[in-house]
Amino acid sequence: MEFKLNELQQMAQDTAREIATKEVAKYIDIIEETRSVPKELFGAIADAGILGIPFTEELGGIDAGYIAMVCAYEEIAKVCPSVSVSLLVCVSFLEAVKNYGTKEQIEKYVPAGIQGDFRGSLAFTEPGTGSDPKQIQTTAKKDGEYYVLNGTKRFITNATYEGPILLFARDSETQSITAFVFDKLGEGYSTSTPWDAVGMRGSAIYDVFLDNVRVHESCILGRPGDGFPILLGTVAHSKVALCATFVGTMAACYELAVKYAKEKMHRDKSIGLKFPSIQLKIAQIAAKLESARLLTRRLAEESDDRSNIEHMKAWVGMVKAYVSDISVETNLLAMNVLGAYGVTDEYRVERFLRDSLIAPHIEGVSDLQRIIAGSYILGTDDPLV
Amino acid sequence: MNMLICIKQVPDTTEIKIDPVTNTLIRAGVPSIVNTFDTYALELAARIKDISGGRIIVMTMGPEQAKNALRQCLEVGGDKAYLVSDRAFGGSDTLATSYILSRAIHAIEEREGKFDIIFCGKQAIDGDTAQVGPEIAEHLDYPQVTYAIGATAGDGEVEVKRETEDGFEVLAVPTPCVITVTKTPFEPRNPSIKSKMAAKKAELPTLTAQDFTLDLTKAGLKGSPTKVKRTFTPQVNKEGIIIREENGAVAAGKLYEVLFSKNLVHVR
Repeated sequence: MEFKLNELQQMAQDTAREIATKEVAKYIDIIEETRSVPKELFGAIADAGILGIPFTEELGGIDAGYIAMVCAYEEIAKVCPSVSVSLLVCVSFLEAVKNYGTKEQIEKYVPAGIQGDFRGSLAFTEPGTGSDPKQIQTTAKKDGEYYVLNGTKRFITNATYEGPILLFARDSETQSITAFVFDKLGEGYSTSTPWDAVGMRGSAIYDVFLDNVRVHESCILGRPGDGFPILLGTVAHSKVALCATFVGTMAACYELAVKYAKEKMHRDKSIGLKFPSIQLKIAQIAAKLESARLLTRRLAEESDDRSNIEHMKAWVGMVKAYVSDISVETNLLAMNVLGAYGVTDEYRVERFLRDSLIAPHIEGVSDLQRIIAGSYILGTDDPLV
Repeated sequence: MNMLICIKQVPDTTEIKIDPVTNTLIRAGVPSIVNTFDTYALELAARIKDISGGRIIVMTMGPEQAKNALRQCLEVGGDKAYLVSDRAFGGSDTLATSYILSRAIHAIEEREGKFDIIFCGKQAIDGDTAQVGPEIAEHLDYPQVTYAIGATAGDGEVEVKRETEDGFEVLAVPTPCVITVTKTPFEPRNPSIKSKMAAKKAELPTLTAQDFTLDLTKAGLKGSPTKVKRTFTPQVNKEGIIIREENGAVAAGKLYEVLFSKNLVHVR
């Protein structure tokens, strides 16, 4: 058992921390106000190699594995969780193409995506379905060598940036879900105004409207009708990165709470040293943070092994649910340490709490994740842990 | 363009604390960084290389741990790095240091080819003398431009944008030359994971006194006409003179008299 990061993982973490504290930090207010991640910031993060962490050197990555990836996302999210979310969607898109694409698709998208030439999106949620992708209503009607896409997708990240989208639709040939990869912003593609969510304002989410969008059959990822397993495999990986993002919010809140407890004075003594109630909260936050962090890294280690997808999905469900719920609890505790100052924007704890509030509700609601994990444990001989 | 950057590993002065008893710097446990002005010099060289091509060699004189500083430079634009290190160099003041570095430059040029530009940071943030760069130029008998904030390489010359008290001036200087760099309008580039990996694996040759020709009587303590006797934080005298007059003109006159009496102004 080794709890220390290896050299490459440490480099990935250090690089991400440097980029986050030097570059991301400069843009926090702009990101919150404009509800977008500026192009120059995205470029700086791509230049640092962050997008290429889990990909092979042949594709332009550094092949550092998933533990390195979650360390990097945690560092970025510790400064601005919205940036982390926007990045992980880009990487999830590239992961899907790498895992399921043809040689031509991989060569077309993955190296360019790692370099930051575009920002990808994933689109499966619809107004009528979120956790049950089998209820997808978006249609893909075969027309010669093309498919014509019609429908609405909901809560889509990076929807307005140039780049490709991985979109799941029910195709007319197989009557099953098929995955399509095509460029956003083309004819027939439009978006709503951004949804006004309680947090993650910099990673704005949109409805995407498809009005007779024509895509060539070569845009299919995998085979016609294979969309559902592709979808499940893809979101499994994006959940790992999401866990790291919410661990980042906890790490930020922990540091802010400790700093405040050490500096805020009550009759010439810090409240941290004076009041046991503060000490209790700080200790709880520390334990929850470390447990979430270690569990996320353990999940990342499991995710490097794709030999048993069902086992991995159960792990992901278990951890995602735990980290999502505990991040909200922990960040709220941190806010309580700061008292009245915690609810103001002076110390930024409130922003991290708002960002973490979405955790139990995105990329698979927490209860459903627990059902997936529990069903697997009870329905197989695999005890999972 | 073949370029050399002379850097120094220094304590991170933002982390330095003062011992309240002895009133001296507490150096133990203070992290080391690449001297800030040297990072701007390296970035300036990297930008020249981005446009005009060339190579960047980084050099530092120091103990073995200074290799960490060299590797950090390789992460952000340096192609190769040399450590100049020998017990005989210990205790060198700026004159001895610049002499050793100028001799080391000749030794490195035998390996890497002649340098067109030698860059230095304006000054080290621990010593603050700003002497080594200009002294290197004198030892090498090269033209020098100080306080550079920008530069463009041409054929056989460099156009240097130089900060002045009133703004800036632009000078053309023939190569080879020495340029010392102050804070630039741009920040040093960020390392990437790949550049960190490459820097970690890079071989860093060490040049000792045996590896190049120099007069050892001009190195180390023996070669240093100046010695640091004591480093301390001056006591701040909180007493002052408050001038309170009926109006500003009278108060200004009284202030002038005080300054004149202390020889801080000289004209009646």
